[in-house]
Amino acid sequence: MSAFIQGCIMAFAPKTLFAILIGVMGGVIIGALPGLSSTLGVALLVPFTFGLDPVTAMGLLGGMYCSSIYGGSITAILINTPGTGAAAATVLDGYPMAKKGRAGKALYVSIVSSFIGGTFSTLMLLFIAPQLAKISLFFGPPETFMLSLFGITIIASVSGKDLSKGIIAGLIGLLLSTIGFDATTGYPRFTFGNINLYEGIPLVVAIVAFFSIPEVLMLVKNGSTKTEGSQTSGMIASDRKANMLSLKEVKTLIPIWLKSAIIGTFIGIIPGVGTPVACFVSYNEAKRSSKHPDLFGTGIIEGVAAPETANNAVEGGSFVPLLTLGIPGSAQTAVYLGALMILGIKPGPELFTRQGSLFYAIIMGLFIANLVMLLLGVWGIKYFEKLIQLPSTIMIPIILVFTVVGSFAINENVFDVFLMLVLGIIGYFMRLNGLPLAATVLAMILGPIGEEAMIQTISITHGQIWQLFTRPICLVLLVITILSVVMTARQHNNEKKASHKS
Amino acid sequence: MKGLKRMLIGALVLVMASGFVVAQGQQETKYPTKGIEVNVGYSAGGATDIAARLVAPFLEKELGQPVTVINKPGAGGEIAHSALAKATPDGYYLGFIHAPATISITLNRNASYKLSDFVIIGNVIYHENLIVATPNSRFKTIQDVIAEAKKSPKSITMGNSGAYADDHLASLALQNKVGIQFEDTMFSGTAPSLVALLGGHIDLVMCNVADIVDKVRQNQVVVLATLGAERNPLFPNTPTMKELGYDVQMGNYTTLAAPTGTPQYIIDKLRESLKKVCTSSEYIAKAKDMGLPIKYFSAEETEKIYADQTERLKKLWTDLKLPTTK
Repeated sequence: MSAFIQGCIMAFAPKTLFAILIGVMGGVIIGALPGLSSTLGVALLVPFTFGLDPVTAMGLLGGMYCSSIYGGSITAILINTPGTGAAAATVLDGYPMAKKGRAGKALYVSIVSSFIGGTFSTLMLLFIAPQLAKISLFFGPPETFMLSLFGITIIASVSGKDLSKGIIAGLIGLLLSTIGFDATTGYPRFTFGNINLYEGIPLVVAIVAFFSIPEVLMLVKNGSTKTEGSQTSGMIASDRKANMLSLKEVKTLIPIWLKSAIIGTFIGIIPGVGTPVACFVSYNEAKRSSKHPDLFGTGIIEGVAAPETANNAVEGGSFVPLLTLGIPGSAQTAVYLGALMILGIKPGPELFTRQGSLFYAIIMGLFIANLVMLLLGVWGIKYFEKLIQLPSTIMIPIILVFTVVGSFAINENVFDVFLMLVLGIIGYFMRLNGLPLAATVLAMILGPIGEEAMIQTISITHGQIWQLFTRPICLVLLVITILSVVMTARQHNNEKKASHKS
Repeated sequence: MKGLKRMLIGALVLVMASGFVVAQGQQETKYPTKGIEVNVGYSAGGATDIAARLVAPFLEKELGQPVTVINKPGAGGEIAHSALAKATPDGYYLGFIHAPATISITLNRNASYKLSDFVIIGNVIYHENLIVATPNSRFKTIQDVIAEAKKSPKSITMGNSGAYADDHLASLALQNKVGIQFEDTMFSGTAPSLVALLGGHIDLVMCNVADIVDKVRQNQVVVLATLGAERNPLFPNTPTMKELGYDVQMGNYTTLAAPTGTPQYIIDKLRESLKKVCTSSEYIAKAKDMGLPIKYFSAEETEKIYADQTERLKKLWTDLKLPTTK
């Protein structure tokens, strides 16, 4: 207990608070700019932590980490350009909300949900980190494989009305995800000998190409002089109260917040699965349990709340293997491990026992960072939403600049810009034909995870892959997957019947 | 009159020309006059990146010009290496190369660079490969592992950090030398392979010293054997494969290099500066704090290591008929 109090005192020191504030402000900007991911943000800050004491340094990095995940949702909602992979699912309902002139509300839901997700997972980290670490160890390659298989079934829920088009779009995504090194043989596949394709299509390039470019081309094609949002912009600017959540809305959101926070934390502790998956799984669950699943994708607050809660919940979850086992489960926490190493902190079981106060100080820092993010985010809404009040003649060039800079920034490679443009044009034609691009992106996220886990499963079971079904977690995931498929099929049947009758 | 004018012009030209030569001479001996970029073939935050960012400020102090680390990740380091190979050899664009990775890429595929494109300045990091298990593993010693592998080939799962990356090559070299077979399970990086080991999903992991020093101290994993030339002072009780009678040595080198064609005086200056940095007590203390396995080798020593590694890897490739897309 004394370690806890000591940790709190360390976290509330003025210079720590200042460091957190700087980290959060930087994070919102980094997250909002496409291509500048939370991983890069943390990496950029690492050199500045030389010479700082560990708690201040971790406050700076913690602030950056959690707010950069939130920051991605700003551009996702306003201009259909997710700044990070973590915000990919947010565009599904966030951008339609903005189109309806409810951008302010979407941003408000997003920041509140991010705060709830972040705080929930930090609480879990504080109280049950060692227990969660044990769960993360149960997750071997077979479990990860089954999880990604379940993830594929989510294609149905991001497909809209036409399931067959969703499956086609998903298969295109899976095919695209096979580009690059084969995980087992080290052979480059479908690269045409171009070394820039050896590591596959970068996720941010795919997201920007499939969400932003088709949208820009649609805006040009429809020839509107103003974005739809701006027509009602007078309303958003004057009616700040409409952004607030009513009691009824809070009631509908509470179960979604809770479930998404649990899903996010849980997926966060599993090494190598990652934030985008957590967002899509939460979105799927919110839609499945909703009374009006058909409204998802048309711009409703539940569709923003679910992924935004989950992505910030992942952050606390992903700290579990890092702090308790000393092993990073994601790219972000790998950078974190580097930062800890530079500070001379050795994460692992000892961090609890020997450096308890430091552990608690880091966690308190995350709490404060989430709070600062909430205040800053709510305050910033009125400035962020100004962006969409611009006429589309100005908006379109701005979005294009974002997409080009973003694709370049991830690997500082000009090839990625051309790749983005080519995929963007393909995406435009897919969209014209009614293929849901979210399904393509989801498949591109899950493809590599599933493939690698499957190959590992074959390896560790010595080719007897049926051993999957002797593992309890695998069985549970299998049942969920089958249920998910059956329910989707039935739902689509019912809809068909209903439409035939009418 | 005309003659005088001519002479004057002639003299002027001569003076200007000599001035030019002198200026050029001065320029030649003066390096560096502007910032230097050092490329790293991996993302920010990785082990190589951390090492580069440790060396950079020290090198900066030594050279008196800013030294900036730039990350060019992709294609297992090949993108960064080919950028280094193609860079203007003026001493302002340097990069980190690796053994075995930089060598094995040239064996595995038609790489966009050659090893002869690089001039070695000095080695910064070296840590040998080692085999780890969990404390409650069915294998307590490396002899247990060898005996079991001889009894039932391919029954032992050995995690590594990716196909034909250094850990996988170390595992293959070991199997080849001892005459046993493991089931090599590929992960993308050492971290996920260690998680799988701790969770009991695989039996062993091949990794490098720095990956597990803290985990050994906290009794999360135990080291069964190292692939070093001699016993590592960090694990004095752990045998090397060499002393068990199997001369298989494998480790990971991180080396500062310049593009071939860089003027010799620049190379000399860089070699001298790097040596000063790597032998300074402040640098060594800082690296120790960070848990980085620094090991300085001079240019000549490193060149010998790379030549030797190239021979070993070529032999491994032909012995095991490893895949090549050439």
